[in-house]
Amino acid sequence: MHIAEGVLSGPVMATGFAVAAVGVGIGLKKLDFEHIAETGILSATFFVASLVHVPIGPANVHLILNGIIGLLLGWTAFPAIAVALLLQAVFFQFGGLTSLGANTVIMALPAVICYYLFAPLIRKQGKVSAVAAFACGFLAVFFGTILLAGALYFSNENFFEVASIAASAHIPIMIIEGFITLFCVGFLKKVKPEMLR
Amino acid sequence: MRKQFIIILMVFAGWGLIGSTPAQAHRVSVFAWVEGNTIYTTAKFSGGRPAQESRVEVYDSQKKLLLEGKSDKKGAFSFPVPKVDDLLVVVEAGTGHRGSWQIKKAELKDASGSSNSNDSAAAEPTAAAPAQKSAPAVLTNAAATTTVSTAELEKVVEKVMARTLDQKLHPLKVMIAESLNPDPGFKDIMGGLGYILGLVGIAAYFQSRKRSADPKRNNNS
Repeated sequence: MHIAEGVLSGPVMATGFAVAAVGVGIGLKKLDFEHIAETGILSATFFVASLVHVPIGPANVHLILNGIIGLLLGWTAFPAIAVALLLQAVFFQFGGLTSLGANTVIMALPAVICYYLFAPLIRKQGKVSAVAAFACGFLAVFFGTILLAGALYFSNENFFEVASIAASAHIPIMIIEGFITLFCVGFLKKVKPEMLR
Repeated sequence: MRKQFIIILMVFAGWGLIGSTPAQAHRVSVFAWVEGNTIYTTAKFSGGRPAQESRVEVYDSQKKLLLEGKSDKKGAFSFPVPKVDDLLVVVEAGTGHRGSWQIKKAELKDASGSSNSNDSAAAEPTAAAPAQKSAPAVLTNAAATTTVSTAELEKVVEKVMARTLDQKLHPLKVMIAESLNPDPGFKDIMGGLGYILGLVGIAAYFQSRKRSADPKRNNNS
């Protein structure tokens, strides 16, 4: 899901950085003392999650975990993911510095969207909560692939082709992340329900 | 309670660390080398999966596209040296994946030199001409033959050497290409986590300053 250096066109890069900067700004503003540790831990989780490769399907895909990160952090997912992406670009050469803004938006914006869509539902009981948790993990990745296709489309590639390739390649990840989010939510509800703000 | 949550995250982190060795992430690594008059390239995702049927583009130092092609099932592609210049081989593996490899001019100079001696040994007889002219006449003279054939021998040996070396080195170069696997190592992972820890510390420091400053302000006002 990381876009490499030199793929994106100038305007897409600039838009990516602008949107990412706004997101990071809002996130940092909302970050209070109580949630610094949590944000850091989730940022670290995102940082290493990209190393967990899922050898199913045709493409090379890895965990992203933006659904659960968005659910737990809300807007703060932006700085958490931006920092992790920057470090991935520097240490792993995943993605790139010029595409950092776009990559941040591709992964953090779905996190925030899923937070608004599913956080109220997840606070409910029983099946509604479980389905919402699964959908949160699943759709966060799906929205990411759509944004990825959009970014590549405006850099001169066929939108539907890229979107269908990216989405189908990420279907195993969507399902796995759905279950991961489901289990995390189930666990947190029992152990520390106040984390699901 | 919070500890348990942290433990779960640690498990994920551990999974990442352990899984990192066979993990195939999404970096495309490109390796290109020159043999004779041909440039070979291979491209793969880190972890070793070849970048199949990816677009390969070759640029010169002015960023001008010289040629393009498609990699085969093994992620390999080869083409004749298009130009003696700093060449950039770019492999686009779709959905934002891309990698590149620079071939230095010096490498190609060597290559074109050896290939010249291959191709133009016949086409470039000007330098060797005097020696050859004298060769038939001197055939009877044993001493002269040796002097003539040393010059010629040198050329022939050089040519044969270049060819055999290319042949012998080919598997070696393929091996290097295959073993080139810049997966993130333990140091990279730990380094990144260290940075995040540091940032958490910095954020906590500033927030705590804000916090300790607030009550004072309240007291003063």
